[in-house]
Amino acid sequence: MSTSSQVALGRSPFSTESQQIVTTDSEIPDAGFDSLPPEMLVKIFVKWDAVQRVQLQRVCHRWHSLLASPIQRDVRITDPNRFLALFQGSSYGSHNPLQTHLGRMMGPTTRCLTVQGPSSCLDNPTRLLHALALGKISAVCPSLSRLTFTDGWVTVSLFDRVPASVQTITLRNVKVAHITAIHPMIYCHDVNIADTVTVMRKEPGLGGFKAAFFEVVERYAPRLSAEGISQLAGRILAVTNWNTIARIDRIVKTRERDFIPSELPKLKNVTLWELHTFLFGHNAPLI
Amino acid sequence: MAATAGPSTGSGDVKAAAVAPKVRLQSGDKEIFIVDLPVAKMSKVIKGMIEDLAGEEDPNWDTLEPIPLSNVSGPILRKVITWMEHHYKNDGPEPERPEDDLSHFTDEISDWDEEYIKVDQGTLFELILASNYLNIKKLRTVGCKTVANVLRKLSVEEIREKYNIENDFTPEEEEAIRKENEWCEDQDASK
Repeated sequence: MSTSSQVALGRSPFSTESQQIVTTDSEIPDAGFDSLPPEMLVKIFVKWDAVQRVQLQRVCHRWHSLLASPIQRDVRITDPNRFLALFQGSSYGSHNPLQTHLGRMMGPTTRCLTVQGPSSCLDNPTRLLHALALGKISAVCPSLSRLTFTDGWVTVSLFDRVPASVQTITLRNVKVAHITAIHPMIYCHDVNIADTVTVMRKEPGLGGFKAAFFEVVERYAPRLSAEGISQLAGRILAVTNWNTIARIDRIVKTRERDFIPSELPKLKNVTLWELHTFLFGHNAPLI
Repeated sequence: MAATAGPSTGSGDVKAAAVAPKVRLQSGDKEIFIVDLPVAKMSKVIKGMIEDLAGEEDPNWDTLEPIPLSNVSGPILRKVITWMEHHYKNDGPEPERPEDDLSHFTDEISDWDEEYIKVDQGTLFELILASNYLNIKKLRTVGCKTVANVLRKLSVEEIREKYNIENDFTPEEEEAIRKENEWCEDQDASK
């Protein structure tokens, strides 16, 4: 590791340096924010949460001008629940504060929106984000082309509400809840997508993402636990929406079972065990 | 190992290298550093300068003029070289970032980098400036993330004080901005 260079330098590569600098006649003036060129400041600001960017406009003129609009190209929401809490209890009269406030954090220049951080999939704020904020965000950011979710949860129903301008959704280290969230009562499970997954809009219209996303889920379905598959099978009994069954069918298919969607209606009144046998074969262990 | 033969041994030590070619880098305050060629090339700027200076295939590295890096002071250059040597040994030359690499979205900093970047404020900013000047993207990212992470925990007043930033708003202006952004300031107070 660093040992050899420490030996070569005859000192620790770490903290001791700073003392030297104090005593060295440096031609560089005292470094601080003032010494950073605007583009470097922007690189730092870009890492902040959208709300904090607004808060810190108050520091000085320079920060205000930099934080106000030029960096709205990449907007990050690092604490979705806090972000949404801002909008809870807002009155939605003729003057809609949500849209005004969003307009301070993002705008027509915004291309990439990153939502980061833990956010439970089932609580109200996230639903609000998906249902309410995304709709408003598309009004505020007509050029939004890329959505990124990292380190948290997303629900599949999100894919129904993606603004039409978005072409790419990236999921990084997120859990996806509600594989079949077409009806929230039907089935709830999560697929942990540990790697980075990029979903591209394949066809125009809102359905495009969902179709593309299910392809991704299929790729990851083999990772579903035995318990997950069992639950999946059990829930099919409660399903009345055949589109949903077709989706589950496609997921289960990746387990390399023969599964004929046209036979599904016959299964409507079967027992869980029969379904289990149907899905996994006679010799499959009861999970 | 070749890399341990004496990287950045400081001024005066001009041993000829038998193994890897070495280049001399000259800081703004005229200090000379001898660095393995591939390590030095982790800086896109140094790489470009070397290519300009040594156009032909196999130049005589010993007679090559030191590469002047007038914007970087000796102590900072030493620290930058330490970073380059560590990361060259452990990660190889800085790879081109793939298009959809999202590492810049996270706030994670490797343990070594975190320890490395534990420096006083002035040094941190000088490192950011130097990495920007030398075009070493990963080091610049480490620096920017570190500053961003510190700032994240501070209020407007704390930032002004810590970084000696003058509040150049008139009271009226500041009040106007405060009012405009009142909706998110409440959040700040409740933190």
